Amino acid sequence: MSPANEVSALISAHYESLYRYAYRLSGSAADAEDLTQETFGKALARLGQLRESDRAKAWLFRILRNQYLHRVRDQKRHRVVPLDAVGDLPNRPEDAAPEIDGARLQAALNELDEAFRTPVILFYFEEFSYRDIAEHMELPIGTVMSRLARAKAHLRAALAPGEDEEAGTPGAKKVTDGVP
Amino acid sequence: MECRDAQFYLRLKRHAGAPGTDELGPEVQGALAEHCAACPACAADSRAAANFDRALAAAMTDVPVPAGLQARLLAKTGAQAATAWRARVSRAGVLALAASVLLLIGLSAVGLSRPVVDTDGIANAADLQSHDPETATRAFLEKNGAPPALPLPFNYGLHVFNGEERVGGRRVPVVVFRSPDPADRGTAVVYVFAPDGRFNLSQLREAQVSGSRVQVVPGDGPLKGFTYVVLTTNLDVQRFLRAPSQRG
Repeated sequence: MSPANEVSALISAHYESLYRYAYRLSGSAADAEDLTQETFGKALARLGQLRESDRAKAWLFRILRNQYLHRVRDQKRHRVVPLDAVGDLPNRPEDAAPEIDGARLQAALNELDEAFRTPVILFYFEEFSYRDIAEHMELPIGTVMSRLARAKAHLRAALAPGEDEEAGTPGAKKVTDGVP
Repeated sequence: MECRDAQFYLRLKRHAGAPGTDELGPEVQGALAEHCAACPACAADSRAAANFDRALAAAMTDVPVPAGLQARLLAKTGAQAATAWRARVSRAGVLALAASVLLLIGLSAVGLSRPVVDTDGIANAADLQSHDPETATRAFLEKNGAPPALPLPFNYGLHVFNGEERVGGRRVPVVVFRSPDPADRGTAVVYVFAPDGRFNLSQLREAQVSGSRVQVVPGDGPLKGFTYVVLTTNLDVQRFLRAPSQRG
């Protein structure tokens, strides 16, 4: 199979999940499409690096994340507060299954620093285990678990009823681990 | 398990995942379930966390994929592959062109120094040699600057070929005959030495070793000055000559 055909097969198998990941990372449909395109372009150029075809999805997700990080490196717009400002779990959450609006979710994700946003996105793309995420981000698994717990707590707080006004507003502060 | 531990594990638990995707492990999962069964507060937290996880998982992946995205990706990647391929072909083409030019120059240089092969001449010579070996031998000898005859009445019915052999680093015309008896595979090779000073012929003499016999025949009459050395495979040279009745 030629490289072009191999990448065509990868596109058919993974373009939807890659686009969704890109969208949740970037918060923009246009950026998501660009990132997805750039990812497959890189994949075409680096196809020789993919030794295990069953790792193709993780490989593509990693390329996409690197592309995203390159994009934002020079345009960091920090509204930084330490993650300590975010509680771990809201007190006694409601029992009823909440309805989560996609736009509110994206606004809440956008408030998270990439170091927290990526693990939580990958976690909910169910195929990614803690170990997968740790490999993806080249972090210890304990760090991944810690970041996940705090990112989930932030999302629960941001998406709780009555939090509509704060999430995604221009004055909202970005949640990071305190590193500017 | 205490409430504090249960709260810790509830934060790590994959509540909304497919069966088997929770990485807490069966031991922790069992202890957590046992604790929640006995603790209404943690049980409520567990249900709420599960509800939230399910809702979040659904919302997280609920991203509409733009129509035609796959086609656009395939088109752009295909174009990129084609560009890369053209670049490779272009590079290869330049290299091939350069190699071709060098090859052409090389072949031209070699070709200019090589003689043209006259296939018609080869065919005609072979035809003449097989149909009229005596005439062919005369022509061969003349072409090599020798008289158009041999000093002995060889039987041209036994003629094999005319050619050259290296003697003392120099090429010498030879005429080869075969034995009349195919069983003994014998041959007679006649070396034609010209009086051109290239060889010192004064020391030539008859010779015989275990498998070969050499006879020296000085040219006489029209052949004067030439020296003929007849090498046979231990056979009498008479066997290669015409019968007396056939000699003209």
